[in-house]
Amino acid sequence: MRPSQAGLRTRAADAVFLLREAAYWLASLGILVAGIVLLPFLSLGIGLYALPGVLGTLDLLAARAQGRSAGFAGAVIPFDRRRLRGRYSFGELASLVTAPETKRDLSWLLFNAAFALVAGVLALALPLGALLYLVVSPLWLLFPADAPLEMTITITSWPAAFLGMLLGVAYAVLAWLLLPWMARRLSEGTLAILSPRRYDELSRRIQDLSAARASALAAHAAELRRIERELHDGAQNRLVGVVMMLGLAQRAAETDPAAAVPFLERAQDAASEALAGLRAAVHDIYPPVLDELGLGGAASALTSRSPIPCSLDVAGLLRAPAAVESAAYFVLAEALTNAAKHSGASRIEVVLRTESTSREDVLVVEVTDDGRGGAAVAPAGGVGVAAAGADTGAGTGAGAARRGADGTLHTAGAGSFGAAGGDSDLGTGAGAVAAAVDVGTGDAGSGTGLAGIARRAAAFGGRLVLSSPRGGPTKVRVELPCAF
Amino acid sequence: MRVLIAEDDALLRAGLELLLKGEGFEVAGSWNNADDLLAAFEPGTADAAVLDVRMPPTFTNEGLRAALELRSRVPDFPVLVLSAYVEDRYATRLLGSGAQGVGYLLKERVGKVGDFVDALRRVADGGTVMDPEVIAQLFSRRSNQDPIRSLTPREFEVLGLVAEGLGNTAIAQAISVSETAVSKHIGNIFAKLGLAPSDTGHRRVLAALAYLRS
Repeated sequence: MRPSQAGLRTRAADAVFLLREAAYWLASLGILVAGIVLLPFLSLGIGLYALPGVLGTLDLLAARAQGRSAGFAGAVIPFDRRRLRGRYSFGELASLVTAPETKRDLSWLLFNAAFALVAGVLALALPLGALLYLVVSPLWLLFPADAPLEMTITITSWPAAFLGMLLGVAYAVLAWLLLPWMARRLSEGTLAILSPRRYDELSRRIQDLSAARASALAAHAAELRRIERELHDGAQNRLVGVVMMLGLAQRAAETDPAAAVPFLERAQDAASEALAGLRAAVHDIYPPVLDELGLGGAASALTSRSPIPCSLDVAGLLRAPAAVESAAYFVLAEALTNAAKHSGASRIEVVLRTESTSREDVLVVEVTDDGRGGAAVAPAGGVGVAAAGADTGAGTGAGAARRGADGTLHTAGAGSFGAAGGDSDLGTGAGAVAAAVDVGTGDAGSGTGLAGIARRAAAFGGRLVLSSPRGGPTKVRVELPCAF
Repeated sequence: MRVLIAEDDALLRAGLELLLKGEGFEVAGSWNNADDLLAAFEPGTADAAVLDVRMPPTFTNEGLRAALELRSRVPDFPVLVLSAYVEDRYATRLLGSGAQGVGYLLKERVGKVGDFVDALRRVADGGTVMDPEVIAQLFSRRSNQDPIRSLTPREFEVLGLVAEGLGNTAIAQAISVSETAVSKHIGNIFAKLGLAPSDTGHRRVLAALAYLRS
């Protein structure tokens, strides 16, 4: 075994890791002591007040340790770990204490308290000892005879010095072998204890999939309702109008044929409107251009038609389910129309790409213009189907979206994934959460513009993030999960 | 005759007003939703209401609920409910509020202006008008053992016309047979359905519908 430079480097990293763990060990010890001290008080009830603090600190320490170990081992943490913050009710505390995460944290605490210091001390002592014996032993001659160099052995002769140096070599060999082993055991142990077991992993995966499936069904139902509304309000009513006007014309013709003409004209107009409505509805169900060119091609057809010069980047775009591509297509079309109508921009940048997370792929549509900014999502008319749960009031779509202080607006989808929503910035900033997104029951006219975009994104469990400070630029970002 | 209108589609509302005025009705008020009509309604100022079923804010059955509300304020206030599609449960609910002066028609029936106006007059006079589609739906739900199934196609047709509120003369004209033949058919129908024959127009409809929805 020859000490190579690479070998030295990894051992230096091992030593640094072990020393850092030993430094944090003090915190582990503190929380362990605090926990043990707290135990009798818990049964008295007073301890309950301190419990969130202790659990929170433990959670923080364990999360940090997991992060350090993962960083050291180059491992990927399979799922975001639970983080504790805020206040908890008594019931929540009870479930918190018995949660598998808490049990894992406690196991880790014992593991860490038992081994981290020993490992850290060894990581420091072994190399230092090696260095000391190897460097100092040959210097025994410098010590006066009445106060000789005393280490484990008293060195008063060259053979003794040689023995001392041999001890140094032994320390060095021990350090060389032990450091990587200890570092590996400590990091792997930490990760193994803190990572969810296979069973938890699978059950969480199933939960995620169930949520995705439910939101897919909800999106499907919402889409059907939207199409039904569109056909009912558009073509169906117009055709009733045609029949009505023809009836009136017939009635008028009985007495004066000339009097029938205005009714016939109105019948014709209504028939044309019905046709236009049908055409739009059919196109809305699935634009033929998507089938022919795919989303990238269809997007380039849209951008080339834009009256404002428009760049398009589809380099990171993967294929997505037809319904999602179709939604993205309409979002882009509406965003471009919106920008052309209101922004006064001279350039538009469009980026379509697929962003992959550990959970799912998300199709992202980003439309940025250099216009005057100040855009806002119009409150939805009619009955809002609440998304974030707060503003469900029937018949009051008003105040559907609130703007944050930074001019950033979020709307969450009705079917947005609990987990995906929970770890995002939704629900954190005071005014940054939007609530009601009208799903298919608003005014006939609100199908356009940003409200329409938000609605369409919501129907797919996605969301609209609008950043439009006064003076520009305006960035419309729509995320559509491809989970279905 | 003074008529109230609630219809959310502007073109159809204007068309209805035009049509009714042209046929000698007075339009006492028209609204684009049911709530405003209910708020403005004063007993004695109108003789009938024409209501679209699906209107803001929820676009489900506002018109139907408004019809029931009107009839709870003024018993047997004549209402003619229009809808893009018929739902026999709605018909049943309407008839549940008393069968005098209710009508339930598909929207497109307004195209036959004469028939539509006749239907509105019959409703305003306390008659009952059900769309043939409603009758067809109710029929299709009956089981095979049902006496309704024992009707001949001609008797079926006659019962449908009866349910629409037509008198014997009108039925005779509609299917081009003599009035005697019509009374014979109706006698047969009532016999097969186990109903005592009766002569007045809407009572016959009631009997038929009451039987059908039992």
